[in-house]
Amino acid sequence: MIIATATGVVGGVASGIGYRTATRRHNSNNNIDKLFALARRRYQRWADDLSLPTEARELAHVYLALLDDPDLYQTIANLVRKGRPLAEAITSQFEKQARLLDGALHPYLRQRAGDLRSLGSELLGIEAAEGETGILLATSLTPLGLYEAYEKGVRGIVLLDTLSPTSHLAILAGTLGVSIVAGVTTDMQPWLGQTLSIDGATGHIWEGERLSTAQQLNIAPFPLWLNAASEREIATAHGYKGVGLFRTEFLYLQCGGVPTVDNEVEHYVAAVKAAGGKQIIFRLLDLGSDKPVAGLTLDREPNPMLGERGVRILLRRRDILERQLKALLTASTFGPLSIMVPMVVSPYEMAEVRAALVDLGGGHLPLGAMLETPASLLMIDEMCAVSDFFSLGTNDLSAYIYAYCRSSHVPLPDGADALFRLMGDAVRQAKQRGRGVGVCGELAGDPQYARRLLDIGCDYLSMVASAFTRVGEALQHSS
Amino acid sequence: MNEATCWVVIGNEIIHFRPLARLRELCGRLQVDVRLSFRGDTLSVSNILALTGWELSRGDKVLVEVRGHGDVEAALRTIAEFIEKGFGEAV
Repeated sequence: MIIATATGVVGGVASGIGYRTATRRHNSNNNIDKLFALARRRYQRWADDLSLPTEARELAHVYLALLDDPDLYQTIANLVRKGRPLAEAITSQFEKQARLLDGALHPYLRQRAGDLRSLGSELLGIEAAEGETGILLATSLTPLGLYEAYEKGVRGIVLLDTLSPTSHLAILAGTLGVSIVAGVTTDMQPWLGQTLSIDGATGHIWEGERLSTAQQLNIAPFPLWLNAASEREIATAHGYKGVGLFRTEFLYLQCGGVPTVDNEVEHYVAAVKAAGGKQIIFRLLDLGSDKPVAGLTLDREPNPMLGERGVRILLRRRDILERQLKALLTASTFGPLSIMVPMVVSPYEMAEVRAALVDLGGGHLPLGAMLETPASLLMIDEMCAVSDFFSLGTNDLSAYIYAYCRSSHVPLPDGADALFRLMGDAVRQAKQRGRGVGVCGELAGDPQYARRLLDIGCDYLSMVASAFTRVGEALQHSS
Repeated sequence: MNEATCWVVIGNEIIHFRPLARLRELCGRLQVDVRLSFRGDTLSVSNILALTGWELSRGDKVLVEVRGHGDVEAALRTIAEFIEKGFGEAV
């Protein structure tokens, strides 16, 4: 049986784990602490990779928590102390715990047995692909193995093992946009070193290059822009017209404070260079709410989503605002960029940021506002006087309109009519005043809403690269 | 060492690894030791596997016990709210 994850067609040269080119290094290390410490380091690197979606990083935290579980560590340590060989102690304890999960009443818990076993096999030996970037052929794969392969550039995987759709491996592949075709019984040996194409939606495997759905589908007629947080995401995406949202929180979240000026300049310059002459819209630091950074955001706000966040922090911390604007001014000498202000509720805030930008000699750079609060859309006429362009931040905007936060996972009520009425009025007025309006919230990457957003007059839809195909298809069918 | 306890009611369909890992992380951030009791069994929040074995689901009542040096009452309120609001998952 073939189980596939639906992320589209990818192609490349095949390399393997558990095959001829495999390097499976068995841990000869017989020190339990070193073994756990090594595993912890590898999972921690995955957990700290801020270029990943939150959901992908959260899985790493599960394994870090399990590594700290005394029922695993202590029991294995006790067995070893009693003279059992380490590898045997690990195998027996993981198998014992996994069997308990196998016997769980709830089916979702039974699925976790496989995830737990994956941790055991990571402790026992390290499987590593030989630095290939194409298609990975594997007998079995752990979530950590998937992350490490993804990090090296692998975007397609052919697996001998079957894959449960609710396993961590499948969840991770989905969030990373990696195609997996699993449960393949064909002899994979002849594929090693050959160019392969796989379709993660149907499970098809072809020898040779095959155009991906995205390449077959001409997305050129559609105004699809890219959301990114790192140079890597820009460099690996194709077919986009510009970068509609570059999140600048990355470095701040990574170091948990304020990065050095050099680091910040370097980061922005790299992003501009990666965009290769396409317009790139940098959003100023959008901290607060679900993105706290010690020393910058307030502690213990009763409701951080309605607290000090976005531009409010920047206007309190002018030093941070100024160093960001300065860094962006430097980056602007390497390519076209615009600056966007998050969480604006009044024209005053835009005027303040513009004054700071002009003072620093950046009056020539386009300065726009995120439209993500009802107040900013209701005051659109006044906002036009102080903004060169706008971008609709539909995540926060829907939360503030419908009083549901994003993590409630509630579909937008009433077919999103209230949201679209407010956005439609604002877009119309902004366009009358000659201002461009894009969308960079999750709605832009949702095929259900793409056509409707263009119909109300939005100029472009900015989204993660993995959404290009589905949105392009939806637009093609509705045009 | 200060102590505070309260009862909470589970709202999630099932409590699995991810909610428990989040709870453990929260307790670490609050710098308190937290133990949960259910049907006569008591475990620390770091016992992810054994806690998973309880198969906690909607309607189950759990006793939360917080120990620490600072304001344990405040920590307990944060933890109880986190649990009752679904461990950061959609309930």
